Amino acid sequence: MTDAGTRPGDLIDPEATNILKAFLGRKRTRPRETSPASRDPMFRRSGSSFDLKSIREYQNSDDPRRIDWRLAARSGRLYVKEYYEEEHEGAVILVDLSPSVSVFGDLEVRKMGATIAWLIAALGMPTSIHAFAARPLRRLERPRGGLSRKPISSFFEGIKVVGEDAAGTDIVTAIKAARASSHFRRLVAISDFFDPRFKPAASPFSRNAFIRVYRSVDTLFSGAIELDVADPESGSRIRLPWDSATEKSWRRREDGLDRSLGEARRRGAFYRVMRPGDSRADLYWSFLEALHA
Amino acid sequence: MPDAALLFGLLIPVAALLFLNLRLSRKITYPHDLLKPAARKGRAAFLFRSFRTYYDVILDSAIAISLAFTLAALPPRVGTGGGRRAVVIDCSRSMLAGIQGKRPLDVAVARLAADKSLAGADRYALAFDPSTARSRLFPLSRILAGPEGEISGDAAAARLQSSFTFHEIDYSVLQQLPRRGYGDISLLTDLLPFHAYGLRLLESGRNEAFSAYPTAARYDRLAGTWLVAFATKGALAGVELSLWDEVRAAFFRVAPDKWRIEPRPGGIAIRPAAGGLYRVSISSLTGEADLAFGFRLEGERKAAAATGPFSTRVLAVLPYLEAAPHPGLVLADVGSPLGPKETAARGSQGSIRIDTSLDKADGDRYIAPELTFARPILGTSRLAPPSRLEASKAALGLGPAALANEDLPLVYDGAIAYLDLPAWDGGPPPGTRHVEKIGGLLFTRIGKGLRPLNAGAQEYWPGLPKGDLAIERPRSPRYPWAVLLALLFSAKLLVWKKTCGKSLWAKGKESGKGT
Repeated sequence: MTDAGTRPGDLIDPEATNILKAFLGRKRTRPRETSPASRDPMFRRSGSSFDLKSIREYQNSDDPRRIDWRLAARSGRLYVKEYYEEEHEGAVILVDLSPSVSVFGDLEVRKMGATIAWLIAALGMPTSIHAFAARPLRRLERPRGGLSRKPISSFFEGIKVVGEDAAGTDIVTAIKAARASSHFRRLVAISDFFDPRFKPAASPFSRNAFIRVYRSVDTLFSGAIELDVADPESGSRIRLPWDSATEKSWRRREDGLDRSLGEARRRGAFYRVMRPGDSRADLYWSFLEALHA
Repeated sequence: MPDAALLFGLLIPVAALLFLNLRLSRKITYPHDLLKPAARKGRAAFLFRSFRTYYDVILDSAIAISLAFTLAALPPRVGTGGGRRAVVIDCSRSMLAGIQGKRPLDVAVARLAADKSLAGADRYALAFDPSTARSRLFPLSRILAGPEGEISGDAAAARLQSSFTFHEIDYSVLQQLPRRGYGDISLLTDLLPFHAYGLRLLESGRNEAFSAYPTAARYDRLAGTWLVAFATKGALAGVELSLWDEVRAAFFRVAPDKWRIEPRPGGIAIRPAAGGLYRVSISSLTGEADLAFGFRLEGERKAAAATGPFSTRVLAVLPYLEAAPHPGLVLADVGSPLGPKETAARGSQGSIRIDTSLDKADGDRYIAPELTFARPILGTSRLAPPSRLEASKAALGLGPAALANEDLPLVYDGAIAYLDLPAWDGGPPPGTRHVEKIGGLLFTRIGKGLRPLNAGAQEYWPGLPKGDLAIERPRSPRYPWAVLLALLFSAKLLVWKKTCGKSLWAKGKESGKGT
């Protein structure tokens, strides 16, 4: 996916619509267990045991698994059942806009956040979109989801991170603030996770998706023996020799961060590392699969 | 200034480091979280932004430069006159030798005006300063100033001759010129009695047809007169002898019947009948200036005292010694207590003392030949050099063979002659604060007495160079540069620690952690 297809004023990746259509156009009946389609996470769940709240007519953004087929057979129209627990079925989308993500690409992060937020909303799920840096910046609530792109694009385009807001990455505070303001059980965090206080296992959300934007430092230069490194957030500089000791130390820290997020994946969280050049379409598809898993 | 090649050589590695730094250093923007291990943490933010990238090279350059200054000598007043030029006229006594108009002084003054290579140089005269009893450099700008600009030629030579005291001078004073910032020094002289380095010698040579110099001044006991011998060169027109009158504080000619002059091989001898402070003036037939010398002739009979049986006998044997209440000579046996007179005389200014020890056996050593007039006499002798500030001393050790030697009195003659003050001094004794100029002669005052100063023989007779005169650029103290070097290295280490975060003292420990 390239940025060339993005319309001006629209941060949502243009392929997102096709991805959504393809996702919704999948076979809605449960395939046989022997069929490869049975691996579609959409069909892995056997059923819901929540208390019925109401029955309403089916909309395109509704989960097809919620269709009441018996009622459909009787009435000839599609209806879906709403349960009380569905109030918690929304997702909090937490997007890191601190200056440190500019190493990966600030625009790419905004697009990623906007597209994922739109995809979730387009599926009819309530969303609470949060942007943060050194502190929570702005929030956009979409309680009924929807297909409209403009509010989401405007939200991400309108945030300028300057001054004290740009002084760091505080994921922990952002998650706490999101938890306090929303009762959704899903968290989608898009960040570089350069916050030493952040522990993925300590997330207060029951379903977590961590999308880590990352650019390896050794892709920024070649043939150097010494680095003058400016921190994009604090502005401070360090000079360090680029030798085996430094490289080893950097890789150890990098592995440690990756390991802690990987541990969350083993506990059921969605975890994906996005490097410059990686296909965002693949990310969206796998994310949607995980969302309905 | 450090040698350019040295500075260049020291800066080559710095330039190489700069080149490597430029080639192999990269500025990147990246969060520090992953690049800030404990051993490499630290901030460069305390440095100026423009200084951060190149601080190492800048410090290395400063270190190289200060190292060059440490290794090299600095000229005085760096950058404010290291290349100034000076020309110095030698105003020693020998510059006045010769016929008026052709003397080395006349030649030097003429060259000072005519030599274009000396134009623009600061002019000095190196002359003896009686007021300080030292040689000094005198600026010539005022001395040679005339109503219509600077005087030259004979007038300038005459002005110099009247302004300065032409005596024996200390050429090491020229060392002051580099310290004053002069890098190009020329010396106008006749014939320098040194091998000179570090200055340009403009020598006129010596061609005096007439000269004289005293070779001896002593009491001739056989003739019963004083004897002053001169080596002379050229035709003498006459000799004039004057005696110092203490009461009138002036020299007065001695009547012809009170002295006589004798020709000697290669010179003349003057025989005054009595002692005293004399001035001898010798004139030439060839029109050269008179030569004048001073002599203090005294002690044909010396007031002495003795203690101990052997020394008492010596005092009785030597005819020119007479017992007196204020002795200038003390003879003493080793181990004998001194009497009151001798004690009073001991250590008094100008007194001399001879201690004698009688040994039971002869040794295998001989008394110093300058005390025995070259006669071999078994025994020992220790001499303290003559001094006008302390009592001169001699210690003699005599065994049976020496006591049996009939030349033994010569030992005491020689010791007294050696220890006694000479008839004149070559230069002012150490500690002399000023020199008096009387009748064209120089004198130092010891107590109430005057002692004449005659310039050394080299001022009258050209000789082979003795020793070296090196005018070197003064080496400035290196410690300021060493301190600067230490500070720069400290700054380098401090910045390194600050920017790299590595402990200065725990290298092994850190490396052991693999960080």
